[in-house]
Parts: sequence; structure tokens; C-alpha cells
Amino acid sequence: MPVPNDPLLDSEYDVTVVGSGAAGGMAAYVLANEGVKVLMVEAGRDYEPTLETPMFNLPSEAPLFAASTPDKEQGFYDATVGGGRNIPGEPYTVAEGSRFSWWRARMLGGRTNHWGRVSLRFGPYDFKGYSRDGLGMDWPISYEDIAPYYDKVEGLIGVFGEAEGIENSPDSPAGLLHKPPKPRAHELWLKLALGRTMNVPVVPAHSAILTRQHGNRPACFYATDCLRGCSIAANFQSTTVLIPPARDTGNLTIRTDAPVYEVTIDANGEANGVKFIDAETGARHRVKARAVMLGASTAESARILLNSKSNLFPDGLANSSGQVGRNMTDTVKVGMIAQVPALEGLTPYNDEGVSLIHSYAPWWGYDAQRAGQLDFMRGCHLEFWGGRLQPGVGDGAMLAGLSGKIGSGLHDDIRRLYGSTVYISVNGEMIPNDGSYCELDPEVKDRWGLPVLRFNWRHDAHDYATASYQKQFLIDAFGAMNATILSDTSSPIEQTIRAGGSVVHEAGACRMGASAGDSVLNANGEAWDVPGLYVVDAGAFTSNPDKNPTLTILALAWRAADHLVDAMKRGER
Amino acid sequence: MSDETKSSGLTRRQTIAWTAAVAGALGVGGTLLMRQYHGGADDGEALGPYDQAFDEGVQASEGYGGDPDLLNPRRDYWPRTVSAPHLVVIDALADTVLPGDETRPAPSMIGIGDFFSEWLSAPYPAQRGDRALLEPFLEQLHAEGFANADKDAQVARAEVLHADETETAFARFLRLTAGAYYTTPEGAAIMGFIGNQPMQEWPGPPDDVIAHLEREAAKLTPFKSEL
Repeated sequence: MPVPNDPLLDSEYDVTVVGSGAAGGMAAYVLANEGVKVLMVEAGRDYEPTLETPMFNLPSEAPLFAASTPDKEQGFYDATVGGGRNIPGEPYTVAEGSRFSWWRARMLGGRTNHWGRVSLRFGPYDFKGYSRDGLGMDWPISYEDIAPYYDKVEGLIGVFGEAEGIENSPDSPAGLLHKPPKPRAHELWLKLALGRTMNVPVVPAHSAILTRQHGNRPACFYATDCLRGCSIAANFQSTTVLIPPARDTGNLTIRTDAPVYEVTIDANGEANGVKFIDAETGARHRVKARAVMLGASTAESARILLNSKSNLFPDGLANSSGQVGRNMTDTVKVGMIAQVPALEGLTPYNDEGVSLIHSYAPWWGYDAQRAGQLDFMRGCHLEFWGGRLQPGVGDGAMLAGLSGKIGSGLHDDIRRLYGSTVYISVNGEMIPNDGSYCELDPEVKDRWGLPVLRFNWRHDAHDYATASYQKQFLIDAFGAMNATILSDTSSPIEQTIRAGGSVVHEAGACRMGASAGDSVLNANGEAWDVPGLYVVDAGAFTSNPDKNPTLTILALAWRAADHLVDAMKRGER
Repeated sequence: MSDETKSSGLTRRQTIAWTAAVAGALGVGGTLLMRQYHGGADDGEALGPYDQAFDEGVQASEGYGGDPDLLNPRRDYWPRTVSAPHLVVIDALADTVLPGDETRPAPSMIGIGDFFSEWLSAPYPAQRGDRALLEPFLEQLHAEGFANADKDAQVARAEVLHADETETAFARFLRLTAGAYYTTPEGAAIMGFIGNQPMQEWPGPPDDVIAHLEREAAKLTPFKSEL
């Protein structure tokens, strides 16, 4: 079916960027600042945090006191205004026997509008895991290749944290990071207790939140919830930090409500544009460009490639290796909530801080692994959630359950217990396996008639060993601090381990590698098979360390954009 | 969603919804709980009602939809359908389980009836489950004349209900009452919440809190594996 050029769009673009989150936003930022004419195509609606963020609105002013519903799955005020796990007319399927859950943010800025802001550098070991322990595959790049880009990203977006000299958790150059906030009471407790009982060092988190003026962006004012977004741009969102300056160059055009479904190629097999759907009218359009950068999210980018079939690429674009959609991973995670007597009855104080975590524990087990004391080979880190945050309906409900009283004693108990529950999550690395991948569903189509993804998911022995360790660690650690675990610990590990996609750290579906035979992308993020086609989201990851992916998505996208700009300057693209 | 989910049908969903409604505490989304289960970028897998709710086919027109006006929230998206006699019972029972005194307003004084009226009228599966659970319970108390009984009799009746572990409706009512009460500005202040005010600097915990935590931590002993 012939697809016309979009009449609303000037078709003279150098590069089409698909997606507007960490990957697409960063690619567009770099390209536009280099004078490249960019068209950004985003599936969801336009979104303007400076005008739309409900900063100080109270939970009790919102429907159902802001409790989560199928319409707003993470609470009424959550920044996600489009998408979620359930998008009407745009389903996905899960193969029998698999557990998978797919979070899609359909809005300008994508998932960067709601995210945990945890910004950890991958370390030298993380890029060379196979060489260290024989699992998975080495990246075609090393820490030294990406370190300059971590520096640039941290300098641009603003990250707080400290240099700790921790094995495989690289320090940033002096003066680059913002000063971290002090630990809250529950974080101080965990620092003291985990250090004393488990010999686990707790240190300041690294988080993309400003604690000093940063260019034209003010420091955090220590109120309101980052997960609602930030109208003053004191945390990192693509929509406040990347897209506005990219627009200011005059080189960025943005088309929203436009899901991309195909990357087009010319007679030489080089990428030359995309086809997308106008979500309002259903009309199909195409735009031409000299290069395409996919940043639609790990699975969505894979879907676009798998749906881009041609005589040259009957199994999907850039898929001669058969690796598009394969090697998917998510974080191996076990978390538990517990009630801590030492945190009861504290003097009330303002505990909001930056609203997200101030402290974390990087992997403490390298010595034990070297000594052969653990039956898994990769790292984990701890994240802590708790404190005396603005209460929602679930908080009073939970504390009433803990109290077990009625009458004025219930009032007294709730005041005493408030802030005494903590949740620790242990995030670990999943190893890619043959059973975890996405593919086109042979039957199910979306509302545009396009094949949807079917997810297959399996955890292997190494993942279960990791999760079993995580679970036992939490049981031991909470026990050692005289806390009462409130989570159900009776389930077998196969059910305790979180379903694929549920941690929203999916990666690997278009991995980069050292050879075209077993990877989709080369070391620059460009497809081996298709010159001018880049994948800049976490699909490019060769492995998925315990460290949260966003900072590395940003760094790799910047690096890939630099590569493309260099090629353009040389006249090669 | 998966074939397994599709084919298991209503029975499984109802079972889960019932379990979530009865289990109560974790199913209603508080700030802390949202944080804990969503962990920033994380989801609430297997947490509670909204997970199952996807299959229930809530029509967008019934609720507030996926893109409501967040800056100007409303609480009138759906008609209120709780009967006047039941609202009287709600006020009376809430004031019994969480009584007001000279420093703490009674739930009925800060809108507990309005909260229940909205909650039990809502189109979403979790709230429909609560409605199914609580409506017969409220009707029973209405028939007993609970709201008109004297204070001592109300307290005695509530204590009987509270002691009965099979009284899941009472347990749910208690949790929802506490959840709503402490979400109001008045309740949050009573609970000890301080915040939602911009600050130049964040001072961190006060000295007495730090000293207390250091004292308590000093009592702990290093963990020794029994393995």
C-alpha cells in the first residue's frame, strides 16, 4: 500500500528520531545542537511538565484520595498521562507459561517523566562479564569508552552523589556531582544497622535531582513528589532538560501522537526514513531522512524492526543475525517490607527530602564471590523506601492493620507507627537466556492492524540463585535489626522473583556486539545490516547489570549521536 | 494479556479481587506503599486490585480516564449511590472506631462519609469489590439501629465485631476509615506528617532522632549465618 509523505511535515530532515524519552531525547539534543535537522516522532501526546505537574495538590483533593486505579495505575497524580500496562487497542500477549508485564509510557518524554532518578554508572566489570565468569556476552565497548559520556551526561542532567571508591561502582570526576542530601531517619537506621549486622556499607545514592542551581534550573526545594514530575525542572525529565534546549536550536521538529511502525530503506539497503500512523485519524504517513535513530524502548524498537519486513529483510530489518527481540532481560529483584521497632515514636520532623531515595548500598559481595562462597557471579544493590512521606490511603490502612486496636488507642498507635515501616529491594543482574525474548504474535493485531508483540520469559538457574540469595539476605538483615517482615516469604522462589518487565528495566532486544553473527548493532549502536539505522535505547545493552539503566541509555545515545554526526561531517551519511 | 489469564475467566479474577479486598491493607495505594512497590520506576506487580482490573473491562467513560486534569482534580466523576441510611451508619461507625477528642476531630467532622460515598460508588473493580463486601454489612448495622444506639452500646458492638476474625467487612471498613482519615490534612497532621512546603535547605533528622537511632543500633549484634 503506498503511503504518502505527511503533508503537515517538511520532509527535509537529516535524522528521524523515534521516541522522546532518555534515548530519543538525548539523541535529539545532541544532534540538534550540532546543527542537524531532526524530526522526533513520538507515539504519545505532547506533554509540558512546567504547565501540567500537580506539584502541591493534596491527595484528599483527588478522586479516591489519589489511590491507584486502572485509569491511573500508579496513583492519580502520577506523571504518566498516557499509556501504562494496559493501552486500549494496543495489546501485547504473553506466551503460555511465561510471566511478563509491559509498562509503556505514551507521552512526550516517555518514561523519564516517572522514574526513580537512580543514576548509577555501570562499572568496568559490567562491560566484560563474559570474560570474567563465562556468562552472557561481553560488550564491544569498555568502561573507558563510555566514561567520557557518563561525565558529559552527569554534567548536563545534574546528579547528586559522592565518590566512594567502591569496587566496580566508578567515581565521577571531582566536582561533577551535586552534594547528596543527608540520610532520612530510616536510611540512617539502615546505614547503621546493615553496617553493624551484615557488614554492608550504605552510601549516598546517585540520583538525577539537583541540590544546587544548575544552569537555568533551580535546586530541589525539598517538597512534592518527583514521580508526579517537576514543574521547576529540578530533576531529570527529557521534557524539561533535553527537549526544550533542543527545540531552542531551531533544528528540532516534534510530531506527537504518531506511532512509528516501520523503518524504510533505500535501494542500497540503507535507512532512509520511517512510516508512522496519525493516531487521531489513523492515516499513514512517511517521512524521509538520511538516518534513523530508534529510541522507542527496548521492546517497541524491536517490534518496529520486526514489522519492517522487505525482500531484503524477510525476517525483519537488521535481523540477519536472528537476534532482534532476543536476549531480553529485566532486573532480578526481591523486595520486602518490614516494621522496625527502632523507628517507632520518633519526634515528628520534615522527612520529605528529595522525595526519592537518599541512600543505597552498592554490591558488597565481590570478596565472597572471589572466595567461592556465593553461587551466583554478578552484583546486586539495595534500594530503601520508607520514611514519613505524605500519607495516602494505603498508609493509614496498613498502620491500622499493624495496630490491631480500635478507639483512641488506634490514634495513638498510628502516630507511633508512622514512618516505622521500610521496604528494601535487592536489585540484581539477570543473565540473557534463549527463553526470554519478544516476537511478533502470529495472530493478534493492534487497532491499526499491526502485529503485536508476544513475550516469552524464563529465568535460569543463575537468576534463581541470585533471587534466593536476595530473599535470604532480607530475611537475615531484617531479623538482625529486630524488624518484623510483613511481606509473604512463604512463596517458592519461582514466584518470589518478579515477572519479566515488572521492574521496567527491560534491555537487550537489539544488543550490540563484536560480530554481526550474534548481535544486531555494532559498538556505535548502528545496525550491522543497515547503515544509517541506530538503536539508542536499552535494547542496545549487551548485558543488564544491577545498576539502573537510564544513565547508561543517556550515555550510549549521546555516544551514538556523536558517531552519526561525525559520519555526517565526513560526508559519509 | 496471556491466554492463561483470558481462559481463567471471572472466577479467578473474583477470587483475587476478594482476597485483595479482604487482605485489605495493601490494596489501596498509599504514598509510602506506592513508593515501596513501584520503587520509582517499578511497577506494582501482584500488588492488588488494579493489576487484575485490566481484565475487567472498565470503560473509560465510567471512570476519570487515563488523562484527567491533574491540576484541577475533582471528586464528582461518577454519581454517588450510597444510600442516606448507610451514610449515617458510616459516620457513626467511623466515629466509634476512631473517636474524636479535644485534639483530634471525629471522622464524621472531616468528611469520612463523603469519602465512603465516593469510594463505594466508584466504577473500578477494587471499589466494586468493597461495595459488594460492605453494603450488606452496612445494611445489617442499619437494621440493628446502630447509629441510634448510645455511645457505650456502639463501642460494645464495635468491639464484638473487631474481635470476630470472620468479620472481614468490619476489618475492611476499619482500614478504609483509617486510610482516609490520615490522608486528610487534619489526619496527616495528627499522624505527625510535616511537609509539602518548599524549603531552601533540607535539614535532615533532628539530633534527638539521630541519637536515638545510634543508641538502638549499638545494641545490635553482627549477623551469624546458621548455615
